[in-house]
Amino acid sequence: MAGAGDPKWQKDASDQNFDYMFKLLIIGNSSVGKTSFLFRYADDSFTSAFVSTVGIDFKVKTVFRHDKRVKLQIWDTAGQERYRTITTAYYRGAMGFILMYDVTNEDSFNSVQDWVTQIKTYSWDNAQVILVGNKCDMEDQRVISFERGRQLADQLGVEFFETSAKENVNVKAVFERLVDIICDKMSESLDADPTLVGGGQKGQRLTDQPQGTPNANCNC
Amino acid sequence: MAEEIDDNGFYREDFSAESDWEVFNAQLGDLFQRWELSNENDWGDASFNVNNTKWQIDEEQLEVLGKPMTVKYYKALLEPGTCSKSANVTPQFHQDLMCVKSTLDQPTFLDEKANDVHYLARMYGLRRFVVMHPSQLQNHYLTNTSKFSFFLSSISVVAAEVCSAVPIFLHIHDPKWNFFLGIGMSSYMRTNFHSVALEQAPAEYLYLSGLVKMFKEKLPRNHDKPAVVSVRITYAMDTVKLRVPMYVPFGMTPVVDEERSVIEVSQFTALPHGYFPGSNTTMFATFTWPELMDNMFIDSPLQTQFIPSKAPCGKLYQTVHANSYLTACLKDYYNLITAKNTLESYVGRNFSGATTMAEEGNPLDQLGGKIGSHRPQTKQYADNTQQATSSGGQSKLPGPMKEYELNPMLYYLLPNIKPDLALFLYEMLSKDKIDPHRIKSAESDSLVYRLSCLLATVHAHFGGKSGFAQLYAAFTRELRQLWESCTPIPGVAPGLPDTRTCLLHQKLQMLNVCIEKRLQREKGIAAKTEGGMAMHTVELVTDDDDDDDDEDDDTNEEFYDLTEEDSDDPTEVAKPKEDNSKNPLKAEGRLRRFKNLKLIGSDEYLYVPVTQDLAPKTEDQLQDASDVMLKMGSDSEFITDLMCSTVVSDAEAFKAANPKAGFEDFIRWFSPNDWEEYWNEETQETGHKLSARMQAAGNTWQKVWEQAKPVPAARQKRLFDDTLEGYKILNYLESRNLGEIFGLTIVPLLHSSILKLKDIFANTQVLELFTETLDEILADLSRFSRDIELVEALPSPSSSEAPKINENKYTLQLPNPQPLLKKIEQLERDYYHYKCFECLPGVNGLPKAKLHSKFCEILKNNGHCNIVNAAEDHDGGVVEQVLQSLFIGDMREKLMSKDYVIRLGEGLVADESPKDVEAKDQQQPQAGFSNYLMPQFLRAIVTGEKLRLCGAFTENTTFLD
Repeated sequence: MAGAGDPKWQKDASDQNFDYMFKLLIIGNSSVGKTSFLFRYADDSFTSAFVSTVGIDFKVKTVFRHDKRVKLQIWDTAGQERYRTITTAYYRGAMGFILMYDVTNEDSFNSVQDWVTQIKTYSWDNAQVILVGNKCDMEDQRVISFERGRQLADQLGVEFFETSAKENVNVKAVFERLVDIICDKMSESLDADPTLVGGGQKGQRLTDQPQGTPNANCNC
Repeated sequence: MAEEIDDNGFYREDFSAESDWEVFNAQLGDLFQRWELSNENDWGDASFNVNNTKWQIDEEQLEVLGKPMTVKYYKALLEPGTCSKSANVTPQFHQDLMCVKSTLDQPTFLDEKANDVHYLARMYGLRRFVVMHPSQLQNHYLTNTSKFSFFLSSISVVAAEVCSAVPIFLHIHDPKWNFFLGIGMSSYMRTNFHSVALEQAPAEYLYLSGLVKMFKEKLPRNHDKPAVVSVRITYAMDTVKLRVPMYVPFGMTPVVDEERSVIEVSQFTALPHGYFPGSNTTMFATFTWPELMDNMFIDSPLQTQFIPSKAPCGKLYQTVHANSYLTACLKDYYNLITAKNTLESYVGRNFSGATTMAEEGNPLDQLGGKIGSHRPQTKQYADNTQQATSSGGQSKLPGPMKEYELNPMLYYLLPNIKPDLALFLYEMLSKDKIDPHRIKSAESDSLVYRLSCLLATVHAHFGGKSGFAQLYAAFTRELRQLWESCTPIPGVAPGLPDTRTCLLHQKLQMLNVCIEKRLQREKGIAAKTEGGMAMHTVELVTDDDDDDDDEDDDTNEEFYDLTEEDSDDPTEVAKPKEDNSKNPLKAEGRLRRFKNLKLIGSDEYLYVPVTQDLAPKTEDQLQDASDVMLKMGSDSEFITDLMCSTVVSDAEAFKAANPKAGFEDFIRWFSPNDWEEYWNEETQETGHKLSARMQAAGNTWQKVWEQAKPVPAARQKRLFDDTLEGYKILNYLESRNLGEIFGLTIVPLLHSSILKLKDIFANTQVLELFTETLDEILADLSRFSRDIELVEALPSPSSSEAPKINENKYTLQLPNPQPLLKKIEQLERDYYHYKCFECLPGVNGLPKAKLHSKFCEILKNNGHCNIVNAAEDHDGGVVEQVLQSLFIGDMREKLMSKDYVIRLGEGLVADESPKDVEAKDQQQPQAGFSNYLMPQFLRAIVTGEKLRLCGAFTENTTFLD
């Protein structure tokens, strides 16, 4: 397994600026605050009037996690229905999704299930998802309680955060958590699949659908 | 006296000058210290399995008498001992010699792996030992006794000095004879290892009685205890040969002969099968008496009691030599992985038959210049193919295959080019069939699969690379024909390119999308946006938003005049008749009302416009788009324009459909969330307004809206130029080199092979035997298919000014497919093996389940199984009985060798369960060496009249016996 020996997410030595590269996507209905969330994280800035994303946009940020430089390539998608087909094309190779709804908008919460379906359809099976209820600073207009968000996340089997890009609540935490679970998953699949590190035991992963297989095509 | 001669004037002999022998000893001593030969701990269990053990070999060269001497230290890598042997006083290598299990457990003759295990480990069961031999073995091997003594004396001195716990050997005579002399030292004991071989031994010594007598004579003093004897008799059985004739699709069909067919397929796969004529299974049987007292059995030239039916242990060993045509075909195909040959080098330039395209230069360059100037002519495909096949309208492609060979293959791939001759139609392919293994490939038996299999078969059986190139070129030429005649490609899943499938399949899907678009357009059907279609993305638009009128007219023409110009068919008249397009207030291109909403400040309904389909993309195009974006930065003008093209198109269509609409109306349709509800204090009711971000002055959306002219989708410049895309795909397929074609087809090929094997297994009722392995291979293939990466083949264009979108710069980078090939090969070998196993007399009638479990045992044990089982199997062991019955009667003819090991010493470990061993250990008195029974060992291997003896006799170095 010459190729599989060295995991794909580990860039070769020529690329000195980072150890890992993760491609992440922020998805969710339009105007739930995806762009603000990303700008808060990447630039630590906020304005209430970002231009509605046209198509797709991205930011790159390098973070340190467990003594490793992790380069995050974060794609910000347009939420409008018309753009769905454009944005789903970018799902391939994404290792993490931030699925966002707006706690003041019932529709955006109701669409979460649809977005999950989109992820299941268009991404490979090992992508990690975090559910995020944004705009939690707007308590007076809240229509989705924390509890409902948490229940949905439990039901979907994903982690959950409420955030505010405006007040900078939990923004960093979401990204850090996402990076952590991707890292965990990565080492887990290396453990579970000894053939990846060479010389595996026979019969260990037989009927197991390639659930834990790292696909790790970070299109970068 | 001494003072007298102590004078400077005298010659003083340098007593410190060492002899060669001393120098060598010093070096050896250093080396042994470094290797820590005195270590008695962590040797692991003495009853280890020699064949399955990994060895660590340290090697060093020493100079002696001007010649290099190689010293090797062999060390079995074993788990630290399970029993508390470390506390035991017995030296480790004594335990080795006395361990019954490790010396007779595996046959030394047949297992190919056994050749990797050092002779000494096999003969004496040693876990650690050192071997010395002259480095240049060819001519300089040790032959004379004085040399032996030179080295042996070194060994004994040094071994004693460093308290070596490891026996040290000297390799003498021609290395292939395997003669060793050795010494094992431990406190007051010294074990001498010898070997002897006789071509023709006295008959007496070919049997146990004589050997025991000889053994006793060699003992240093009379032992009153009887020696312990282990015996193994080996029989060579008849080779089982199963003829499985070669089958090659579109070529050789085997003559059905009297041989039982072991290959039955229920689905046609264009892959060969069968096994090479030399395939066979060789069999050996060993019968073992692991532990006997030397006086219990009679074995002499006159009479022997060592016959199979009385043996307590018996094993059947099988070695398979089977080469399958399928595996050979795959391996052969694998050689293409690095092939850089172009198709042109085999079939000549312009094999594609691209008649409507300019032949010189890159046709795409010309296309890019003025789209629409090279429109494909719709032809009647039937005419065309008639021409091609009958009158030779298309020149025959050069290559080893004749037309009568090639054509059936093409009909197999593309049944619709000759529907009356097509034998293999495609089943309906579904869009979202999920493969449980999620192999990034396509549906089985789809076009991609058939092509991949056929290419491999042709490569192996119809003329190698040139046949391969011929078929592939012929295939692309047919594709071009289908494209020109606007006939959808069969055997491709419907819908837009699905990036969960392999690149070749995506390309063909894309080609079909282009063909369908053209068909739609030519039939004058307005394109409708199909909901839920996947994989659109932004398309590169070279024109600016503010097209001047001339260009507008140009694009108008492109959409409208196309069918008129190209319709050779006079019946095709259904073209859109909307000639009043220049009237700005006349609404055009309405699809339907939008939720019955009305325009703001107007009584007119708000209409959803007909919009253009977004450009579908294959994964290399997607990657290119995102690469360009990453390179340019998302805020560059280029990217903004790129991203805005859809909005511009939609805004224009919207304006055309709703001439009186304003920006707010557009947003209400396009981005409803930006049309916010609010509570109007003045009017005391809820009102709506644009969100802050849409109100922000000069935002992209407003700009786009202001600049958009009312143009219905049908008259807009195409966001997706299917003509260009179609040609791009044909060009892509035609310009691949052989290695790249390999990359495009390897996954479907491997998948087909596995499915074919599965089919064969199922048809011969052995699927359950191999299910686990098959699943494992499929999981591997799934991983393999998804580890294929697109990499840029060329250094990226050195421009920040004009990044060109050019997906052709990507090539596929494959992981190494060899481990997969090996697994498939092994699987085929195992299948052959099973079929041979089934052929053994009496075996075939046995219940399948029992047979399968026995065969699993063989597979698990690397080719052997028990045929005499004492207590392992409680339900009778039917299979064992049958197998054992093979060895009733006179077996003398099949006798291959006899292996006697005679031992005497402390703590003989019998071939028993570990518990018993432990019990024995505990019983063993913790006495010192006073009454220690020194280990004595003799192994005799009798092959016909030949006799080989390996002895290890231990003597007391302090007291003479």
